[in-house]
Amino acid sequence: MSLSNTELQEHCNTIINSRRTQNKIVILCEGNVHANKGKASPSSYRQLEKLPDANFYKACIPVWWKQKRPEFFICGDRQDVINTYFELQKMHSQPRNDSYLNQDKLFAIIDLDLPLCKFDDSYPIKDSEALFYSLYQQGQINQQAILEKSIFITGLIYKEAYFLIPDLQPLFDDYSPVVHFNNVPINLKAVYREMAHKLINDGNLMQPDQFKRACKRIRHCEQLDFNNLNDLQQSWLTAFDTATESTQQLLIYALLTIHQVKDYWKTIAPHQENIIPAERFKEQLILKIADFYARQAHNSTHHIPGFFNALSKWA
Amino acid sequence: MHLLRVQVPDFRVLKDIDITFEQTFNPNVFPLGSLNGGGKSTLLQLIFVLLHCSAHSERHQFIANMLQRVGIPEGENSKLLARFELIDGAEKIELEFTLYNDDYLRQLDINPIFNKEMVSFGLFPKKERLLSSHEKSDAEIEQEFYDDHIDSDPSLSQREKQAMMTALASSFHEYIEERNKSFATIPPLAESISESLTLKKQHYITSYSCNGNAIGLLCHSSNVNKSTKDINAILITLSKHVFLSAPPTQIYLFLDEWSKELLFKKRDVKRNRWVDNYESKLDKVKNELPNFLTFDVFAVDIVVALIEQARNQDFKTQVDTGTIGASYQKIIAELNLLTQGKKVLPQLDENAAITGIVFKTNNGIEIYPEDLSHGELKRLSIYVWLKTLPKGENIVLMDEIENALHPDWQFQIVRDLVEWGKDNQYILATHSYGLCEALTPAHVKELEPKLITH
Repeated sequence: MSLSNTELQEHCNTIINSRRTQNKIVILCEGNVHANKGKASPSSYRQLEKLPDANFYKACIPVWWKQKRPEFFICGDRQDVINTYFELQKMHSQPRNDSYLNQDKLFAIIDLDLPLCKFDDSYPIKDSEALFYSLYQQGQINQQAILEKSIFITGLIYKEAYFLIPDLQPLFDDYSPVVHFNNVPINLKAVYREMAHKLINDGNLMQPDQFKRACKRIRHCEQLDFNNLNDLQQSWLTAFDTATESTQQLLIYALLTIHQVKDYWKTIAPHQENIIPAERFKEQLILKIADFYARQAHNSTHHIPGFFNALSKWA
Repeated sequence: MHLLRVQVPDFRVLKDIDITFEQTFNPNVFPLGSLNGGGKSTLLQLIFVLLHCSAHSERHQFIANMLQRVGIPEGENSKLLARFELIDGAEKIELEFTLYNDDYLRQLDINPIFNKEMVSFGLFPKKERLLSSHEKSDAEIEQEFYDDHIDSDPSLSQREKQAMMTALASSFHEYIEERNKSFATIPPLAESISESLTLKKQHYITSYSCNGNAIGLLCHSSNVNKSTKDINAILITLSKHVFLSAPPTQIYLFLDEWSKELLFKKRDVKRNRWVDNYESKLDKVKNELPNFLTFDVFAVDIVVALIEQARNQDFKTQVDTGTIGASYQKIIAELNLLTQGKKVLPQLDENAAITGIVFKTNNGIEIYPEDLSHGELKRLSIYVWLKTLPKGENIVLMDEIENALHPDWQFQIVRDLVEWGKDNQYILATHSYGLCEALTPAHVKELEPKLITH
């Protein structure tokens, strides 16, 4: 549910009045805006029901970025993030003396998702889909393009898709307690197969306009048949079983770009539920995954490190 | 060793404390929050003193200092001080530290040849004193007696002293008679009490006096198979693996009363009494508690020790293999990685002994100490301190780790701790929201303010 106009104004005022923004890169992101309204203290953090979404991104900031690290502000759903971004820009279109925010250092990060998210007419890019094509070519991030944009969009469908990329298999293998998916130790290739099998039940993809949008995103995968959802599923499964390692990667990323992945992440659990509740376990696993991204090299081809590498030029 | 749970029913400001530090949590770092005066530091100090000092009699004075003025409620004969659940490998260990008074001892099955009225926790320190004096010669005992009884005023003449000694001669004989009687009764009675405690699987740690009453601290394990010998072995292991670091400005409850009072005394500069101040007392304590560190400006002694250790290791490698080792290079490289853009080098005297540390820019220009940030030095100090900790799982208690660190670094210090000592468990008393954000909300523990009873 999006913020009302009054709530949006209040939220923007909170951001510009926050001293955290002074001389800092500010990144607006998705998450429960009402979760933490109290004074920032260990006690108020403890009372949060779950790990704030922003903390994943915060923990992804590269380990070499020691000073003037970005500050995150949670804004609600995807549309709220965009609304907040443009409202803050509008508020700073005239000189003002009540803001710590430097609008040149204001950024936003949103999920790609399948439904379209329209941007303000003042922005050179009209919507989320156009932004996706400007930042990614055939699944590869374009760092130069990031430098020119102030809104960043995930190259995979949701943030949660980054919790399930193939390079994370060694992390899962070494993690304790053992990471289970469907009551067995997680094997990502098995997860991708299951995703492909369930592709035909994806509510978003069943809608013609969204299916069309999804196909366009992954049309560079020559092995896939975009005729209809059934054909896409069958062609993915056939191609995956016979593909080389590099083609498999391409197919996996294609799947993670269009398919609802949140349900699969929900299935992740520790090998014994009685030793740690599944939700707590997943929150901790998320921070470990963030640490994986934070430790990638400067020239990493991963999307999130690529975003932060580009962003660091503004610090 | 991992601390799973600590319970403190009632100790100073701590009331009904029951905190769990889940072993399955990743990472093993637990921020501990409370309001100012909420008891974070008290809790860390209590854990440290009980687990680091109990196995070593020379450290028992710190337990007694900590428990000063802690008595047993009227009409009771015991008071539970703290209960710990720990895990060592696959074994779960439960330890209970309880205070008892003499009424409890008198209910034990003591050999009837002894007078029950004599049964007291006060016998244990007396026994220790007697046994230590047993090794002294008659001349030494006599000298000690007179030293204790004659004013040490240097203005007294030799004749005056001699006169005082003559006057005290009969008292000395009475003292010797009393001492001989004590030898015949106190050690056997203390032994009998110990045997009874052993049968009840109660491990005697120490005793102290509160309002004229003797109180004993005993440790018991709820694990049915643990004898007092086993408990002692556990406490010895724990003493090696429990660490405390905190700011030097903290009030340490385990210091003696006079040292704590010095905090509020005006320094007598005219009489050059700088030596007798809180800081110097704290320095002395640090020598006696090897696992205690205060966050001073820079832990130069530890850095020097670490470099010396690496140098010696390299020499040993050369003796063993004929080729010089790479430990020195490795440690310098690690230190340089922490001090971005600066190089850490040992400062040598003419005999190549390490006398200190020098920081240089990458161009070789020396950096003055005032040009280094406090936060940078603190981070480096924590790093080298953790490097000196024994291998394996340690319980590291850190108070106000965020002091001097920018919020960006407060967030990062959690990752640093895990990287610098991945097998350790960290319990961090903190006010920092930024530090907590590096972990999940469930990692954060709190000493909650108590509701007011109306």
